[in-house]
Amino acid sequence: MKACLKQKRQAQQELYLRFSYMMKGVCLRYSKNEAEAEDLLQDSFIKAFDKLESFSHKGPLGAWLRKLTVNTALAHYRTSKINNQSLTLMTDEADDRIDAIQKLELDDLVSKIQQLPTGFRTVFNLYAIEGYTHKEIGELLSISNGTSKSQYSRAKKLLVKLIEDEKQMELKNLKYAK
Amino acid sequence: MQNKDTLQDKFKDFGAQPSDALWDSIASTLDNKRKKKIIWFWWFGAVASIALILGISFYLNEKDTNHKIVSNQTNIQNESVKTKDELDKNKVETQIKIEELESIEIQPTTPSINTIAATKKKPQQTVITTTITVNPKQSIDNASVHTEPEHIILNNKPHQLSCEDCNLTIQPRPMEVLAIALPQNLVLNTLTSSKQPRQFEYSFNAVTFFNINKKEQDYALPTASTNSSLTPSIADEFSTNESLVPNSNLQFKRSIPLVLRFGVATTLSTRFKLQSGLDFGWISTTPLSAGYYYKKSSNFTVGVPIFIKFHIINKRRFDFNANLGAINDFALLRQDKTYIYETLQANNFQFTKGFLGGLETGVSFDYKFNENLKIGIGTGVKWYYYQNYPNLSSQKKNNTFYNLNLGLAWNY
Repeated sequence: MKACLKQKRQAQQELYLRFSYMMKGVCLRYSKNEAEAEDLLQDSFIKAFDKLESFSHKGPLGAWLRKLTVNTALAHYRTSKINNQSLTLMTDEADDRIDAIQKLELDDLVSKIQQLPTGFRTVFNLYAIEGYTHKEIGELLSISNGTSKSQYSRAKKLLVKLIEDEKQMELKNLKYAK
Repeated sequence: MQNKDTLQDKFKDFGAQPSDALWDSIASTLDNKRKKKIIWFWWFGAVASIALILGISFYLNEKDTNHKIVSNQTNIQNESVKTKDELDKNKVETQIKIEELESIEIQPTTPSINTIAATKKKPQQTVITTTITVNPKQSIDNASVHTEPEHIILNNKPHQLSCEDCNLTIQPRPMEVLAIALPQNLVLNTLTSSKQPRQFEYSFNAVTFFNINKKEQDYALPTASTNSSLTPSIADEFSTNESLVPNSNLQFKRSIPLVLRFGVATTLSTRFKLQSGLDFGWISTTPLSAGYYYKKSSNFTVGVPIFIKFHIINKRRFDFNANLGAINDFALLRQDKTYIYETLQANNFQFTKGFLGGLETGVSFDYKFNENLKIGIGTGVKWYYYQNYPNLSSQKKNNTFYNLNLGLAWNY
């Protein structure tokens, strides 16, 4: 840590090797694709090396880096200006189909999450995976509670749809194969 | 809520391996950021130092001018009486010769006699005072003043000197005034002012220095660290090769060092000047027997020298000076260029904390183009008596250097 604070390149590389795996996972969830995730990861590390002195040592460094990565992703989200999704309030009818999401393998689930529109993806990640409340998400993204809820619902619905579409496609392919 | 927790658990250990090229990209971005910071630091330092030098000189100049005005105003009456008394007392028959006056130094900041004539009606007391305080005893060596009552010759025309002109309040009897036949454009400063105005001389010098004993490394200068470890990637790649890791006995070849010296000097007396400023120094070292891998290091220093300059000879066209002073160099920055097979692999900057203190003495010869601008060449000896730059503690014996400098100086 001390060497990193002195901007020693070797120490920075060690920190990178230790935490890049975890941080890349976070980045993948908040991006459309691998390339965008790598950009996000690079920005996160540069920000981390810049702000390392503000790390208070009260919690584990991994948690601090994870939060920093999420914040970097949110900053990307704010600047991308693609958050003008439909604000139509949706009922939570998709909740009963959440099992379909959980049954997916992690890699598949991440690839589905990546297919979500940016606004949906961000709210879904923050609520379902990071554990933020809708109120907190509203503050983070400068949107209302209701919007956060609706975006989360639509994200889930869309995810389920994506999964079902894929299943149907697989069945079709299976029929053709027979 | 349970679903939410399950998803969180599911993603708890989720991660992915970044691409191999990502770290290189991050490292190069960090390097660029650091370079920008360093460039900013140097520019800021240079601008701040110039502003500081100018600010101090303006402040001192202003203070000196104000002091002169006040003292001249308060001295008007005393001086005039004193002049008259002294003239009575000494019975000096003075006549200023034009030839002698022409040899007197012309000071650009002082108004000429034409200016005085043009502004004589205006209540500029300091200007008028200057004409009144002409005191042959004080200012002019070997000058003779011819006294004629109540008038002064300005621009070859007799001019009645009245109290309105010179703001004098002497009433008892007509004042005896000097009859001075002055050429046009003659500046009265050297005749009149009892105290020289503070002069500032700015200079810019390029200095290089060398060690007579070339076989030994110049350890007194900040040099490249020889024991820095290799980055893992380079070490892995070349672990089987010989000559990869530099050993501690490696000899270095030093580049010609260069110091850019920005100086400001102020006159202490007719013979002495005090000079300070900022030195920006650079030197680089390369291993003499570089293997596959080697590092070329450059060190950047900032110094604050303080010198006393003594004019041994001061002629119209040239000066010959001796100087003695203290040098304080701060080694602030190091650049390491890593090469493998002569190919640049990495270019890193890092801030360092080093101090080198010493003494410098020398002589210089200045040729004056005119009163304000001169070119100088000098040589001297520099001796470092203290240094705490890393890894140099056992290498203090070889710390005397000879220097050579060339530069310009101008008066303000």
